[in-house]
Amino acid sequence: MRWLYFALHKNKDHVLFILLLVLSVTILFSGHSLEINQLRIRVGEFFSFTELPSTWLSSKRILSAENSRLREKNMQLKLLLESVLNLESENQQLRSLLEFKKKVGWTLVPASVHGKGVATTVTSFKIDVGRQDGVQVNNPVVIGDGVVGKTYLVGETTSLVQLISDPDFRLSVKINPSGAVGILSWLESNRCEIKEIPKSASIKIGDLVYTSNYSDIYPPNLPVGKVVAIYDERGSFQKRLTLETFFNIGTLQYVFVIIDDERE
Amino acid sequence: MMNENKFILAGVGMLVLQVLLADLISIRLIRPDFILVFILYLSIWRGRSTGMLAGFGLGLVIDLIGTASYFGISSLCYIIFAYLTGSLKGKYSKWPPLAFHFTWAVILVGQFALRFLITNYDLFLYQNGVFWGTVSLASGYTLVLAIASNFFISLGVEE
Repeated sequence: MRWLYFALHKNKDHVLFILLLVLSVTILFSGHSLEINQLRIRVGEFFSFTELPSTWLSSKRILSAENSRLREKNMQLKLLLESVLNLESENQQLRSLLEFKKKVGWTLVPASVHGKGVATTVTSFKIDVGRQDGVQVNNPVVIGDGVVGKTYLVGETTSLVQLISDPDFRLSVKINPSGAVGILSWLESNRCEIKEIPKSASIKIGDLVYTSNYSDIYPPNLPVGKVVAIYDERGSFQKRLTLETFFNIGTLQYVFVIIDDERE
Repeated sequence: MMNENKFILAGVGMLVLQVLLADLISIRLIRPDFILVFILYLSIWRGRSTGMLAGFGLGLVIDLIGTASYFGISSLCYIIFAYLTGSLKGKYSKWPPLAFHFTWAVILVGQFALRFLITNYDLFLYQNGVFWGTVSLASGYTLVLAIASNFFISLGVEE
């Protein structure tokens, strides 16, 4: 036994390295277990106050830019409203004719972004709504400009959102007007990639991208972004597209969580 | 020589900096890694064991504060980084300065390459340019931070 002790002592750095490596890999592979998720959400709720100063600082920085953008948007919406009012009355007449039953199976819960974590890349953030507000795991998180992500861990008062910029995030999308369906994943900054688009699909730069009808999580027709590049590779049966989102993830301050009333 | 308390204080300080500043100075969703710079100093000054233990602990804290997927990736990458940079302990006075600095810089870039290889393997396979672009931006940002801090506190000062 003495030789073992001396051998371990002599190589303590290497032994410690192997031990910690095994422990880290175990944690990495058990990251989805219930116990670890509960621990993470509890620790996250406890330490959420630490991110308040940085949230406050960044919100000050972003607020003025956001304000001018909203003013411009407000003016555009006012102009739009006029035409919408005319269309509404026409729409109501048509609905009554068709006995159309309006069905919206979800409600929106407003939330403010609390902390965007401290890891090297921005792949998630915390929001100030949780189970108490009716939020569940895998609820879509959106803003007016498009899909932001989905709830990943839900605590009593806060939730962790997996962002569209997470390398593990996938979204089934359709490209209008062609209706072609593909799988979206993050690329870099505010650009994403759409794969598995049939080569025969007629797609142009500037085409708008929406959520498809095939997702269990996202309602169809939520805006996602617009096509900025098309790669039609020779020898492949599919096209690849690059999409640009309408928002910058780094500047998000407020979001909405879509709660599916029917699922509850 | 810095005593243990000063190291603990410096570690907490770097964590606070990471929480407060990293998001404000992020470029294209990439943030500088203050913690990695701290582990670099700790490993070179105090050796592998201290660096690895600090890396493991701080990595867990970072992932607990807010990472959706790949929980535990920071610990894993920091341990490997501390193990490799720890081997440079005592080499500052023996090696040519350029070789010493080049070695830790390569390990630092390697740490980011490993991290993104695990998280963005698809990107590595199908969009090689974008993958290496992201690795370059992330490692370059932290590398600048490490080089700048080296001007104020040299990595060889403990020897």
